[in-house]
Amino acid sequence: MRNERVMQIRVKVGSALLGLLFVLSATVSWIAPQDPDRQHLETSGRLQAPSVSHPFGTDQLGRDVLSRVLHGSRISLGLALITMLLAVILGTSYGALSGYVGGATDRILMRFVDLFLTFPLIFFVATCIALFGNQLSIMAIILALTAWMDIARLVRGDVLVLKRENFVLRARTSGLPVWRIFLRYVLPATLPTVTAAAVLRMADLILIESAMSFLGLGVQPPTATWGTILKDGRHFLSDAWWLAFFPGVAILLACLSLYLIGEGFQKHTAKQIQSVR
Amino acid sequence: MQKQSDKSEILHVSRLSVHYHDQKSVVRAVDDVSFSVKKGQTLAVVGESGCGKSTLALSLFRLLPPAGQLVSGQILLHGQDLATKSEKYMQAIRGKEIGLILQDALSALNPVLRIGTQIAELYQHHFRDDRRNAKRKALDMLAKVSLPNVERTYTLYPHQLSGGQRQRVAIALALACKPKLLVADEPTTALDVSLQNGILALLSNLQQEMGLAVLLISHDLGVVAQMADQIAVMYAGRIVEQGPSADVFQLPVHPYTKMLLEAMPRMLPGQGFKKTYRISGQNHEVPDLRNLPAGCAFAPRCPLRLPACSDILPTETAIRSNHIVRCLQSGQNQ
Repeated sequence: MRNERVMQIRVKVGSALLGLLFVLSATVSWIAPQDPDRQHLETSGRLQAPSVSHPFGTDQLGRDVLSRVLHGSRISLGLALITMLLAVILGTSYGALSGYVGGATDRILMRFVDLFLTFPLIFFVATCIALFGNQLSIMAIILALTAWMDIARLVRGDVLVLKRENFVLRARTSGLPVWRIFLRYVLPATLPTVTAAAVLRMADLILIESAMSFLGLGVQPPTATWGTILKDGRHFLSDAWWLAFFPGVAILLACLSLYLIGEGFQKHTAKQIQSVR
Repeated sequence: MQKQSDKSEILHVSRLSVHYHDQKSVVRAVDDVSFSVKKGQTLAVVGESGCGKSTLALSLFRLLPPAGQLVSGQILLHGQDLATKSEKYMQAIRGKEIGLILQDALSALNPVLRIGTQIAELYQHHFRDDRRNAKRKALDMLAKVSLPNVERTYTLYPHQLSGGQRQRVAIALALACKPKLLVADEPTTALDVSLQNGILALLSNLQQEMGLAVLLISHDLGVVAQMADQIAVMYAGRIVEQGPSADVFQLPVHPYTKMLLEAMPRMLPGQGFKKTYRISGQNHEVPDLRNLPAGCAFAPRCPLRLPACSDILPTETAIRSNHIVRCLQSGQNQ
């Protein structure tokens, strides 16, 4: 009982935090104090510590870090969101079909998932970016290709159980066609699992995108993302801590809020399953 | 259509056998079973858990689990042998010609679709009705199963209904497309005793109204006494006694039938209320269907066992018109 209340509070805090981040990134053109790319190259403008006029300080080119973090959130969050949606669509349809068809087809399809899981992540992404370029749309597809496998596995597991449920058998005794039962009886029932997995996935994707940008594989300067700001900051860690600190905090908050929500969903789903049995 | 068959005969099953295979063994869940159901009549299949009743129901719909296999026999629905039909043909008649109420009807509804949608989609699928027509028919059907306030019920989700109401929806789903045959697998076991009578009364009303042939599967002899015209007693996958309801209840022949009847608390006309007896016999175990004796499967539990019983499989013997028994001693036991 008490546990449940704590869980609910976590989901609420997580949602509020995430909502705030999304609102900030959506309204950034109005609220960001300065143009994120405007430089102040005179000595007095570069690497300024946080102050009233620059709450997050300025970087080595005199750009306002607050404005850059806010603008960066657009790409970091937006890319993670789109990538997550792509991964969910791919993973859910793949896993659900595999589980629903079953038999030898299922075994072969699942070995293919295992194969994908064995690719070293960074190596795979680096190779793909080298081959296909690093536009945002290509990045989204490449990152989605690294993220769909565990969603596919989870959904397949769900479907294997669901297709033996009484209401699915009943739909068959009513003479409904197999594809219709799949779309209207089996697939919707995987939604709780998919939601929880998707939210947790998105947190990982924010981290991966930042890591890629940090390594110089992802989004290229001067475009601001949390990863690229962090990358710039790494050269000045001892003199200008604020450069790496604030994008780091942004990444932390985004991931934290997603984990809080995802964990709450997972517990809730587990509970629902228990109450049905 | 076979001309020689009785026109009122809707389902005729002859010598049906269904086996489950696993790596090591074969389970004979249904073995050499024959019966028929007539228009407007109810045949009740009774027997203890694990005797093959539910397998029998699913085999009529050709919806056996992957390990199950229809080994031999005919399932004649209006003279058409369902045992040999394609999956496509079966899909077209499931729900339309034959309806099934599943054992656990409370979990038989899709939790994410509204009640009305689930019924209406059957009309849209089987009769190609447009939305409005399907909705009108679905509302009629909800009214037929005596659900209150059908307009509102139409828009509800299964979890918003009580157990009794969900059971009524399950009946509505099975009968929506006006099938000729209804298979009801334990239609009341998931319900409180107080609700059972209402559901049974509803079933017999609908049966009369629609001229349904009903195959009722139950282990509850009270339910069977109330509903059945004919009774088939199943033991270890075989029908051991079959006959008109009154005959089987009052003049049971097979020792197993007698044992079942004695175990039932009952009130029969002229006899008052009888005490409940425990199932008698030395061995109370339900037989292992993987490992049946060569002779009569009931022999190990039978109080009247003869040495020959364990070796010779008794055949179906008619002792009266329509009253059939599988027992070596059926002659002496009358």
